[in-house]
Amino acid sequence: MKRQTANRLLRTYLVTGASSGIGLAVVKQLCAQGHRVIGTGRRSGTSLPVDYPDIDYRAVDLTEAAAIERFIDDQIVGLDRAILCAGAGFYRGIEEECVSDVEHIVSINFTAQIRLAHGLYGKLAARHGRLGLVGSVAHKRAAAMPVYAATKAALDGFGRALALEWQDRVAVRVLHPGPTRTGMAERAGRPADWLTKLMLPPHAVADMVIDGLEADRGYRRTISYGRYLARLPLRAVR
Amino acid sequence: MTRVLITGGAKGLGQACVRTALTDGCHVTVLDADANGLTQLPAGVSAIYADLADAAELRSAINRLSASEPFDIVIMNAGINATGPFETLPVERQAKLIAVNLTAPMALTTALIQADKIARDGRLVFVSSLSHFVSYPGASTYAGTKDGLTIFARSLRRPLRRSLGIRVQVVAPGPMDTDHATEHSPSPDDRRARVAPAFVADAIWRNRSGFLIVPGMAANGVSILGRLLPGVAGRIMRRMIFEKLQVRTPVQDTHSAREQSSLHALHPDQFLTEEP
Ligand SMILES: NC(=O)c1ccc[n+]([C@@H]2O[C@H](COP(=O)([O-])OP(=O)(O)OC[C@H]3O[C@@H](n4cnc5c(N)ncnc54)[C@H](OP(=O)(O)O)[C@@H]3O)[C@@H](O)[C@H]2O)c1
Repeated sequence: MKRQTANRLLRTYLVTGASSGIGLAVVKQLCAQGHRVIGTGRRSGTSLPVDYPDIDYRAVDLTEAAAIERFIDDQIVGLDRAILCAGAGFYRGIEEECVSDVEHIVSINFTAQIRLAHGLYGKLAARHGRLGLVGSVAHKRAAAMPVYAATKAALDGFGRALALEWQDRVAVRVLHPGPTRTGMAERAGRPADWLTKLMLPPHAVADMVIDGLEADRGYRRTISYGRYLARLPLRAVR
Repeated sequence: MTRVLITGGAKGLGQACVRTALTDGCHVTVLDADANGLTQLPAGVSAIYADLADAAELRSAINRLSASEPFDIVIMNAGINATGPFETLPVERQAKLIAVNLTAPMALTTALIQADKIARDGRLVFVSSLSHFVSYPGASTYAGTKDGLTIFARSLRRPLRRSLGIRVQVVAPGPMDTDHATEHSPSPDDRRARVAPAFVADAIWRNRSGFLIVPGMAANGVSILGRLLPGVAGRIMRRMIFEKLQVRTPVQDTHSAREQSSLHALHPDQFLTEEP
């Protein structure tokens, strides 16, 4: 990981969902590459894993509009990249869904991203920055989690249109990971089974998220198992 | 008697659906945030007032619906738009758009299914937009909500058919000649190139089985272009919509229940297809 530090620009990144899973793996990777990282998660700084990297971490509940505004105003000065990983879902069909959870999932997976994109625009545009939205392969449909799938499709459609709007100012990329071994699936209510072992490792997904954000063209990238396997020899060589 | 629920039925496409349903002899219930419009509904139509952007009003609407007889046809039509460069549109307006266009129909669906208020063999129709196929720079949040709603429908389609016999459908209309559609169009003088809401309502009425309803030949052509050449379609949309919106000054917003895609240069026709 460190090998790239020398020939890469050092940048300032904002990472949401930085307290767990993919976001945490992204933070670790970026730190190892020497970038400056501002991270947010819902939990307080004291509940982070013991080996948490030494970064500027803030607890922000992204379902609260005022908290987002305050955070951007107070904490973000210069910004080159934003990688929005925070998200949640419930693994359940519509028969088991409930209205307040529908509101909550839309709020964290979609409305919060709109608020962040809106609030960060000026800072990113000032540095010809890039905005990465972490979606999910569920954006195409997911019978077992229709509300989650809808929010990820909404994020994809938003990113597609915004990439066209901002094309010469801020690059927008939507990165759709396949099932990743972060524990999110279990938290979403999907029992762990043999498939869990086959899920993508978070560090590999983090790699592909960071690289995918730098892609020259195409607003969307799917972080699939195939892409992961294709990169394995590359990793070995590096 | 066939019982029909139409959200956003006071104006635009919703109102056209109300008329079509009445002509067909159905009993119609309209849910709308337009209190004045609700008082002017045709005789015999039941009205439920609710601003779907308001969580408390959404809940009281759900309570009313949960106490009613089951519906044979539910049309989730209520939707609003806000056009202009994303960063210049007030973010609260965009949050409201998400509440009405995405959260509310998913919440209403959840409540109706759980209270068993959609009849077996009934239809659950979501009004999406042609923007699902071609994107909509200049209405990025709106485009997101319509993609979200489409994929919600796609995800529900099989489970609801299997477990409850309910048919889930999506209608993706292009630009319609509704009262306020011009507000969101970069060139407000293009009404003739738009389809009549009655035409779209009729398409919904006649198409009882296919999943995707794209009313009109022009809209169909556009949807095919969008699927085959998404990059080209996006660039055309940017030029036709976004670049023109950028030069238009103030930001617009409307509360009514209708669709406002703005593929205005294309000519609608009398055809109708569904996905194979
Ligand atoms: N894991 C997968 O299989 C998978 C696949 C495709 C896409 N994704 C997407 O990838 C992203 C990250 O997933 P993950 O697997 O890393 O999940 P995770 O381990 O559960 O992490 C979710 C992160 O989001 C944060 N978060 C949740 N609600 C929040 C709120 N209201 N305010 C602020 N932060 C909040 C969490 O903070 P706290 O933990 O501090 O509460 C946590 O840092 C999500 O958008 C997810 O939808 C995951």
